[in-house]
Amino acid sequence: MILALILTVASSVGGATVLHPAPAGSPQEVPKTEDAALRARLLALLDESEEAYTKWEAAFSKVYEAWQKAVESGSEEPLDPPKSPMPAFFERFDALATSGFPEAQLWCLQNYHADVPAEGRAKDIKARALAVLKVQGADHVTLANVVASHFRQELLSKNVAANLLMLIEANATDPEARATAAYRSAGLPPPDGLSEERLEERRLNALRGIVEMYGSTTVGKRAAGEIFAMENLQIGMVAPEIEGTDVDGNPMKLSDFRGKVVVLDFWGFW
Amino acid sequence: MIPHEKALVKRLQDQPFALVGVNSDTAERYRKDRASLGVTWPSFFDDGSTRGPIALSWGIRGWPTIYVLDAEGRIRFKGVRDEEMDAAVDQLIAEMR
Repeated sequence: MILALILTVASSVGGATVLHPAPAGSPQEVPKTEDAALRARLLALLDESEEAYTKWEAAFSKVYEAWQKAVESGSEEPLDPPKSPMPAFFERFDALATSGFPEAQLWCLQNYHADVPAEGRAKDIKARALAVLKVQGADHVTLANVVASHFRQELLSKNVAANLLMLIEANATDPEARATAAYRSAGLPPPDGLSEERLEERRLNALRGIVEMYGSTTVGKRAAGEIFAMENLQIGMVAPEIEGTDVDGNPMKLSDFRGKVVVLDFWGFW
Repeated sequence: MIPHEKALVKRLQDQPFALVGVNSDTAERYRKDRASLGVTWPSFFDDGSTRGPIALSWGIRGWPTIYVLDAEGRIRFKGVRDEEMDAAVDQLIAEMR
């Protein structure tokens, strides 16, 4: 909960104060050779940025908690959080990204800032995404998720996002990445003006397609679960049986509790 | 949320009510926190992961996800939390009288 707040506030803070230029070179032109010294620099940079982020996060929590307390006791002072160190890393990752490291390029995509001028933004993101897509064995699952997230943050139009996801689905070798792209693609908003019924039908068809193509991937199983939920877990339906064991291996069934009002709680201690 | 659920279980201990969990923690974490936090209600063990077979087959995408079932096992409420969950439970128990 607190973390979610931090992230929301942090991204708006970062967005308001930080500018980084679009990269000079085209990120699409990726050199083929991977230099060991560059790789070591990348790993060191990842460590350094992680450490800086952890430090900043702790400092942010501290300031945020103090601010919350002050607000509770009537203060109207605005929140004055420490500046995120991440934008300062952008250029350094960018330099490695243009040297052909998909991890560095993904870092740039994940830490993209909304205040790059709107006109060049979609093109830049697209070029970076395509650069990552070109590298076999790169993390194309994350790439698909990043594209979807950039669409949600309005950094990419629906068309560009849809095209990129289609390209990922067509070109990624990892079935999990293809499935993720298909799933994210199905999650893009439908055309306006469809009836509720038509929307549900559309969603069901998309999910069925994903299950058919990628049934054995985690995403495929999740899609199957979503279909199951749409068809079996609506208000008024008798809850499907669950058969399993508790943590100590004792068998239990959901129907064991029939005759009682049941709160069925999918939960964890986190 | 665990304190809230503990209170609910305690308040309704003499009523026809059960809190049934599907827990996504690892066995180790579950055993440890169950003891230290005093969890008394039963939970299915879901292979120690949010990608466990029960959560996956039910299409669960967020935690916690809560379903409230009546005495016949019918799903009557979905996605209720805290006071809303309490009210749903009270309503369904009242229906049984």
